[in-house]
Amino acid sequence: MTGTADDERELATAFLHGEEPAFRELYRRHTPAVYGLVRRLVGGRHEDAEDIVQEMWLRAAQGLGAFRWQSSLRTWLTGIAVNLCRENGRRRARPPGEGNPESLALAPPLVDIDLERALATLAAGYRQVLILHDVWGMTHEEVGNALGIDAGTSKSQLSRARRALKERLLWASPRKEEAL
Amino acid sequence: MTAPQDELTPELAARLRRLAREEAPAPNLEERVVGALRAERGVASRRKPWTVRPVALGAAAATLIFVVGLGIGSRGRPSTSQPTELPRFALFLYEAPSSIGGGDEHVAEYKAWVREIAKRGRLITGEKLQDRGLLLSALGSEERLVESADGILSGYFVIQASSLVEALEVARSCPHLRHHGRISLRPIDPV
Repeated sequence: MTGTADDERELATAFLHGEEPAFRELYRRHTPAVYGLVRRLVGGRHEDAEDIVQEMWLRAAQGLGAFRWQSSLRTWLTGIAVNLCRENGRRRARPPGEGNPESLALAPPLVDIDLERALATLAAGYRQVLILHDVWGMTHEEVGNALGIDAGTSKSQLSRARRALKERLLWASPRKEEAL
Repeated sequence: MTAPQDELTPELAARLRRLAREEAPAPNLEERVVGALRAERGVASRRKPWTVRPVALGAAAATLIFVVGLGIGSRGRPSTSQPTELPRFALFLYEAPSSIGGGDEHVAEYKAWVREIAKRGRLITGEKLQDRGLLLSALGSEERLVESADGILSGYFVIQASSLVEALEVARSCPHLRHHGRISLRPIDPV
């Protein structure tokens, strides 16, 4: 539940004035949705997701005074979180099979994986585009804004991401080829 | 136009959409975030039974410096009493007379410690106290240096911890002890 826009503005104003209960209300409204997104964007790592959510709120606190409310608070927070996921991805050492998108075809076949594990093994850039577009329903313009790419790049990345995901699922469950 | 092989089947599309669900993070994440915000921005404590006065920190301060940035918020508003989830403890920091004069070089040390306990969701508030104060008694009041055989009460912290054992661990980690200070750890009575 996100509440009305006016309600959110009142809570945000109270938070800016140092009202802890107002912050806790905003936290409880938005963290579960953002956390669910972040955890998938970082490939399922709970610790990374929690660190990112914490940093998101710190950055939100710093930038909330300048927020113009041209989008919903949830969308704004999601944008901060997605940027942090990108920073996190650049800092971390890449696990085998992740990184150069062209190397995905050479990745060892994966056996007995479900959809979330398949997503977790995608290259970070593919995973982010696919999750934002196909899981969270963002348009390519919105995906582009969130990831700092243009809409055309988002479309081409999404095509490759879907292809890579289907490959992963196909190796995991060969009999389900028709469903892919 | 998307190539057919890049389209999603209805089944796969539906499976992906079902992933867009909320997830509750670890229960202690909220306290971690609040603690970090307190350290960074001075979010008002839930319990503010008295007016908090910002303390001027001069370079020549004779006592230790708290780099907390807390206590800056609403003045005079009634406390919004809400039950805390963890027991609270007060740490009263006493300066040993021999350590008076140490100041700026300890700032980074205290700052790091405050941020660490805030990050762990243990810090509630803290203030530096000025050297002079009034000692009141039933016989009237007198103004004299807040100084006794036990040393100068130079500041305090209020923390929350799961137990006295954890509170003791937090107190022991305070750099104040390394600078010959003393800390009085007192559980706060949740009346």
